[in-house]
Amino acid sequence: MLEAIELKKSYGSHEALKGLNLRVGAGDIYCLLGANGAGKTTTINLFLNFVTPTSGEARVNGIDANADPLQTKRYLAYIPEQVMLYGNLSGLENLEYFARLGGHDGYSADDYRGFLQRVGLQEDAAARRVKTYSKGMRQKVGVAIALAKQARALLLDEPTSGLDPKASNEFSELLLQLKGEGAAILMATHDLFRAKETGTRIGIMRSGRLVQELSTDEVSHADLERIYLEHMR
Amino acid sequence: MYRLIVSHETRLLARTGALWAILLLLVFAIGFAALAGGRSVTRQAKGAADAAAFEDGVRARMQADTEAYAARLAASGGTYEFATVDHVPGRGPPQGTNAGVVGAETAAYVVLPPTGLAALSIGQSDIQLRYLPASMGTTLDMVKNLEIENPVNLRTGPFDIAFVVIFLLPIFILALTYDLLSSEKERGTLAMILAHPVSLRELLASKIVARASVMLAVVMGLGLLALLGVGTQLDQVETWLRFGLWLLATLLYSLFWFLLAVLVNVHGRSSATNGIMLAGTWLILVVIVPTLVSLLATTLYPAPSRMDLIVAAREAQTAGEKGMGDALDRFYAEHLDQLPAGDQRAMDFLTLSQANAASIEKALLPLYQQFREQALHQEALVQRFQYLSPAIMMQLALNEASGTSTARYQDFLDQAYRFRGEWNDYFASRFLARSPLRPEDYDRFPRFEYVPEPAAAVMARLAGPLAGLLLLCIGMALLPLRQLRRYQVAAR
Amino acid sequence: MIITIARKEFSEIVRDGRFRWMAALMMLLLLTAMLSGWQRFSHYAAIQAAAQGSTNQQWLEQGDKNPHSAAHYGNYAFKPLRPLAFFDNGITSYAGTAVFMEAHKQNFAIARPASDSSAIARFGELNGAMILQLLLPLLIIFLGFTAFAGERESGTLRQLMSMGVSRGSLLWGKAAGIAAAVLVVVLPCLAVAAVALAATGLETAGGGIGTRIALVAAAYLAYAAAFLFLSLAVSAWAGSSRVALMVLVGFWAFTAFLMPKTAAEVSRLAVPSPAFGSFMADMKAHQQRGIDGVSPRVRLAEYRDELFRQYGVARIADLPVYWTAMSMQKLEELDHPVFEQHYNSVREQYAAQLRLQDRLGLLAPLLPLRSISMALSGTDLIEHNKFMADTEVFRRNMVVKMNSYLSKAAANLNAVNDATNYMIANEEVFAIVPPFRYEPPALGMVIASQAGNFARLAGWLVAAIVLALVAVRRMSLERN
Repeated sequence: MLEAIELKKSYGSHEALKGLNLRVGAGDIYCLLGANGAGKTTTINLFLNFVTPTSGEARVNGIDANADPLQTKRYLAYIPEQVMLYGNLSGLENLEYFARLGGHDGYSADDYRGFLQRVGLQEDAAARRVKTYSKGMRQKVGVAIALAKQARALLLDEPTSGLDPKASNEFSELLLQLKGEGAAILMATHDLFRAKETGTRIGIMRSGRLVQELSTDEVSHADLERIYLEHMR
Repeated sequence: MYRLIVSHETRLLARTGALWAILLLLVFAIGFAALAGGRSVTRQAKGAADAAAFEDGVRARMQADTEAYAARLAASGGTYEFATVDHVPGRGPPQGTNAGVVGAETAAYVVLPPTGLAALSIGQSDIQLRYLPASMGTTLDMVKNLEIENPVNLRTGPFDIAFVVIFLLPIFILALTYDLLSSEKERGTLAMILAHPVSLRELLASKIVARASVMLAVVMGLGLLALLGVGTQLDQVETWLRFGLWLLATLLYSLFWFLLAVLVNVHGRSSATNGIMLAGTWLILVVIVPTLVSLLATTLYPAPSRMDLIVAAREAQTAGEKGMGDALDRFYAEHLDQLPAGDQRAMDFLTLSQANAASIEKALLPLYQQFREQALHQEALVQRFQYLSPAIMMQLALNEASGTSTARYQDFLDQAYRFRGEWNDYFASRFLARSPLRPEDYDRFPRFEYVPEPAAAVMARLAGPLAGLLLLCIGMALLPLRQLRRYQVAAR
Repeated sequence: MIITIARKEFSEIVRDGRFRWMAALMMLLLLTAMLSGWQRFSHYAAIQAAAQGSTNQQWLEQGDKNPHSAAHYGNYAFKPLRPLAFFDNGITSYAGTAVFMEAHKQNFAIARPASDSSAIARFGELNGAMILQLLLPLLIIFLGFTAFAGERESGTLRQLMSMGVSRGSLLWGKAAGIAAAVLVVVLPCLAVAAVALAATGLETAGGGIGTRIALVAAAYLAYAAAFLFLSLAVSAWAGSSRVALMVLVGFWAFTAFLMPKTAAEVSRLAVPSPAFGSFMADMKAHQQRGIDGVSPRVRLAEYRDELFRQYGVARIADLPVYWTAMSMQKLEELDHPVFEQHYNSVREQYAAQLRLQDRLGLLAPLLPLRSISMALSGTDLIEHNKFMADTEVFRRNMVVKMNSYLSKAAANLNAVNDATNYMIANEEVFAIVPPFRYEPPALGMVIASQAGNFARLAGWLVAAIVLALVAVRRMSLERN
């Protein structure tokens, strides 16, 4: 579903990404680990075509994101570290707007309420203006948007950083549900524990390169931490 | 997609106080401007009516005197005679029989009627007298008077709808658009939106459409209401044509400011920087460039001083009086048919001043010409340099559409001068032939009929500023396209 | 401490590329304005002096004629300008520069330069006052809006506070730093203007030029300082620098563009003044009616009888004074109260309009500053009214001199009833009318007339400082 082929991105003389090759299939949760500046966010931005690649391709469903961004974005959902919404609109209204931006006009008001219910947002909260939301509630709306959009690939940029453990856990549960529905999920994170728990595969990045890929069922928590620290040395 | 974003933007705008505050201000400003414009036009119209009524009243009394005189003669017999000039009124023929007195001591007011849109753009109409006394004096006497008004207020300028459109509307537009993209970026929602199949161009266009439709609907609707409010009759084709042109100019001008906000926004700077740049651009285009162009015009082609004109006029007057014999000879040489029988040197006051006026007129003609030429030069320079600022183009366009332009006034002056000639010829020939005015003559005095300019002439003058605004908008629409492709959604 | 903060603020501003652009633009405009203002002033002064000289000469050399005809010929007064007009030419282009002084008629000033200018002249004239009134506050706002809001956004405000800097000294330090940056831009231009002023007409300046300059400078300083402290207050109060900028630019547009026109229009709606046509029709009708409803013809007959009684005669032919001249003068005097009533009424309407606008100065600091600037530059309505009053004094004196000369010199013509009933006078007679001299209003009176405006401007400054102090004291250190 998501595929990076020799993907390079440089800003002037600085190479942020040095030929990345990566595949995330349907039902995969691929966790990108790495220090700040390793190229995780750049990778996600390239899939979203927020930045143009220097060379190589970021493909979504087999389509180059740089060649036809409007088409590839139909399949994508994006949940950044902080899901930003319109503070003067309610959660419901935000959801409806973004869902329709994604090209889904057919939902009824009940459908929207249903999405929010599924991600665990209280009914009274859904009608409140987003200004009053906590971070966890915003992230839930982000997932609801992905649900409503029927996204086949999710790009998550440190979505759980700053969430309390309970909210973080709830978020992981939602990801597992999406995975079960066949979504391909690419998540940049610093959270080794969550990566091991929810992820199916893990990629460790360093200075713009993918230095190692592993399956989560191949390693234990302790091994993962050891391998990670070795690469960061 | 466009419809979705437009309705979303409209909803967002409706939920922020800014839009309502701005619309409220706009409604208040246009309402106040309509009130002020109406006041100005009414004041001028009253001035014209009062002045004309006074002169008509004087002539009506003279006519009544001649009627009484004619009746007296009919009763007692005798011939209807010409009154010689006499300071002491009393018996004999009344002064009203003397064409020289009637023609010189009363005036017919030549009035430039306001167009249906006059209240929308006052232009120079508050300093130019739009009702001129046609009498037997010199042209200088006709145009020397000025509309009176508190000079401090004249300097401040009128609060007309043109001011609201040219000065305030851009501020309101920029207040709604200066952070068009930058606010979404700073809020983080830009990335959320662009993760969906929406292009930046679509997003920008929809945002502009949402804002522009609200603003323009209000401006245009209120413009029409303002017209009705000042009592304009909307049954004339000309008024609708002018209003259409007025709307077109307003549309293009507003579009320019929306596009300017887009141009500044696609560079991806912060809202505060965008704000500074747009406020600075507004100041430069609306305030500084017009004053500089005006300075350039008056420096390159300074109007000859009116003081010099006054001195020259007196020079001519003195010379004329001193060589009165000569002037009189010349006058009669040119009007041989009018040499009074028997009385070969009609050395009375009016004849003298008649001859004098003619010689002053002749001496001043070159100076007038100079004034006119410098004014034309200035106008031509302004016409050329108007393209430096949309505000200048807009002011010229609005003045033109409202019928308060310099060109329309010049055309009126030409008609007024012609009429003065007509008036002068009528009374001078009757006076010099000593042919007494009879009561029925009073109804046959020359009457001024203002001939409106052909619509084509107005359109031709509007073509420049309108085409300039249109080209500017097209250029402004194309400029951001390249930059848009390079727009950085994500911070590095 | 304050000096340290000021120095940091100053160098931060001066290093900003945006400041350099603004400073360059501002200096260029200010210099252009000062120099073109000076050029315009000297050009005007030369033409005015020459024109007054010429018409005075023309009066004397108008040719031998009847003295009353000479009064009809009359003279012109051309309004002289004061040197500070180069800085603020006020209403000069709009008030009329010449007055025709003739027998029987009191006239309005004519020759209004604005009428000979293109329509775009109404956008405003470039002069030093305009730059300092409109652009200087904007420069100050651009330099000041980030003062606190920007530091809060970048997080340095918390750090500063943790160093134990007091809020008060932060305010004064920032104010001093911004003020220094502004002065760097403005002072050189003012120096150039001062040199130009000193080089040319200081000796023609009349009394009190030093006082005038000092007061004008104080007014502009108070105005600029008010904007400086307002900018700092808003920057401390606003949630973000974006909001601060919006609020400040909005206030600037309000005070610099919206309020002057609003005040002018409100004053015109509240105190309407007649158009030229209405004024003239009313006044002429009043003249014909007579001031107290008794027609001038009746008054003239009464006057004749009074003269008969006074001289103990029964016929005009026996009067020892020339009746034609006496009657002309009597008619002239019958008109005086009518003129006074009508011209005074318009003058009072204009004054009332300006009083109303002055009061609205409570809402916008530009209004009191503008009045002070024009008044002290001698380009306001007070000066113009004084000029108009002087021309009327001259006119009446000229007419009475001519008529009374005629009434005595031509007394023998009372009995003559044919074409030789005409007295001719020459240049020597015309010379008994001294040339027109304009006496500007006393400086003390000008200053007194602006006392309210000075108070309002000072009020703005004090209010701005208090606002800034309160805002800084209550300022939150966190972004919200």
